[in-house]
Amino acid sequence: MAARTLRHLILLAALAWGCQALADDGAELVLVVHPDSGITTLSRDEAINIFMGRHRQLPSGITALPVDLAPARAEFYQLLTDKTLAQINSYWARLVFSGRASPPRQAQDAAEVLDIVANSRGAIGYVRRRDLSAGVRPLVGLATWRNLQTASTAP
Amino acid sequence: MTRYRQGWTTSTTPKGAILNATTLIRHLLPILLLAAGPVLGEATGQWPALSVRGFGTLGLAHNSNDQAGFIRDVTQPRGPKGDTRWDLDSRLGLQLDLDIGNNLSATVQGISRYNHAGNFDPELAWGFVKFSPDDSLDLRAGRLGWDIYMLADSRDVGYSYLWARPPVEYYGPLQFSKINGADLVLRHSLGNGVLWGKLFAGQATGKLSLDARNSVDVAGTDLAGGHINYETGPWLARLGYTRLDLAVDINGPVAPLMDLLAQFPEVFEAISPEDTYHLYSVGLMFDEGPLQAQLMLGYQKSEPPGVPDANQGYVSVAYRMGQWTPFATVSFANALSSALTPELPPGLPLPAGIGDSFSANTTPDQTTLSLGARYDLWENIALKVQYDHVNVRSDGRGYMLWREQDSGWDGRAGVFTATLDFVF
Repeated sequence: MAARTLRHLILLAALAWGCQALADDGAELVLVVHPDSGITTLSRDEAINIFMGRHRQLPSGITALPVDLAPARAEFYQLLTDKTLAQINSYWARLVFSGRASPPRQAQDAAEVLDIVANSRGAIGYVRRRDLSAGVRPLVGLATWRNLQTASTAP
Repeated sequence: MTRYRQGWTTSTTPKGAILNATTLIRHLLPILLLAAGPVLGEATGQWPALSVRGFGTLGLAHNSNDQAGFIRDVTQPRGPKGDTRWDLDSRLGLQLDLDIGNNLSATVQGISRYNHAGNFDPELAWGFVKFSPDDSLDLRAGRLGWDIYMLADSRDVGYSYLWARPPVEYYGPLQFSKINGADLVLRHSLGNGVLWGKLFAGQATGKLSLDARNSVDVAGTDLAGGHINYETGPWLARLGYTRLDLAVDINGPVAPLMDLLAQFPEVFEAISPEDTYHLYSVGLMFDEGPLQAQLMLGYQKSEPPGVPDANQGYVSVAYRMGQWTPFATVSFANALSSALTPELPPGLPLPAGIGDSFSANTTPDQTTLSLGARYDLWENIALKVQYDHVNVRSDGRGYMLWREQDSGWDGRAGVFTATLDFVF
């Protein structure tokens, strides 16, 4: 048991180090919104409510239009919800086939996310820090959530 | 025309013989899109207008007990009885969603599944227009799913849950497939979560199965109800109430018997299930990272004298380990009183024991322990295996969830199931 805990600790330390390394080369995912969205920050719970289709409203009252960056989707939802894509897809299957909500729009690359977000007040997406452009407002680096998660799951 | 790029289709194309069903369906999509082309020609724009999605299950279920047929819900006329059947859980659904603009959308969903007539004739499961004037309000009208209990309106979508099938004690009895009516959803952010509620009203439509030869048309059954939900972090809680005024029309060899009994109003009233039912439910789901747990409870208050009040519920716990998610579920249904066996008028040409079978049909008394695992083969395909150990106590042995029962049945059944579930 102790050996397993130790192994977990080493794994967590390695992960944390890996994340730091990623953050340094601009690979960290950052939430982005339109400059006129009326928000400057977003909590993890608020992001879950929007991206998981619970309530598509930005804290400023505007209707939210979430956009997924398809190549980074697995990483994003792991950070947001600690779930695999299979779990996320199962969740959406329940909502989609009961006519409740549709999953976020899928963008194929960072340029598409930035284009959508720069042209729609309610749009919210995520891109890697190195891909940020002037037309969007960066909100929060998702490494923050990873650190929170690490902190909350550490023994 | 743009096909909405769906999350679960963004990965590289899956390979392998096991995916043939998905591939086949993908080949059918362009044809459907072409057919819809004339209507949608103008609908191309920056935002996608039409999406085509589907779900399906290929399943095999084996009941090791050869004295009673196990069914998934009361729409099914037969179930495995000492043998293996593929029709119990296999199904295919196709859904078209059309974004009309101006906050309007339309959805049509067809399902092919083993039905009351013993075939797989496709049926219209959903067909509604939705108006969402803002992000806090949805109004829908048309054909809608059965949303009496949490998860009930997605119980055909095997990929959306962990089990081979939803617990039969909870989702099997008194589950109609669909209603024609309207519903309204209101959402409000509260604390870190979202408080939302739904009100609905309409008429049930569709047919159930009494047994292999008799079906029951429930058209004309009125229902109205609602539920209130709070979702925060990993928690989802729901309270629900539905009032249902049941109307049944029996078709098959039993029908003349019912006509005969209808001439004796006192007797008929004692056996007829037609009257008001009050369905109360509580649901609690916890879903954080690898851990998933659910607790659902239902209480059925029945006004017809021949139908007892009943409790039903289940608790299910699962923990994901890599691609595997093992789970365990305990589910139950039990009547709160014995049904009254009606005094039938003497001298009528009635089969012996018919009075007992009327009351037994609505009296549940059983518990199931289920153990199983889901293996996520791909991001839109899962394999599942499950074993159900069912114990039906003597009062519940004539219950509507069992088919072709032998009189000496000891109330035990062991059901092995394997399914392949997918969405596309």
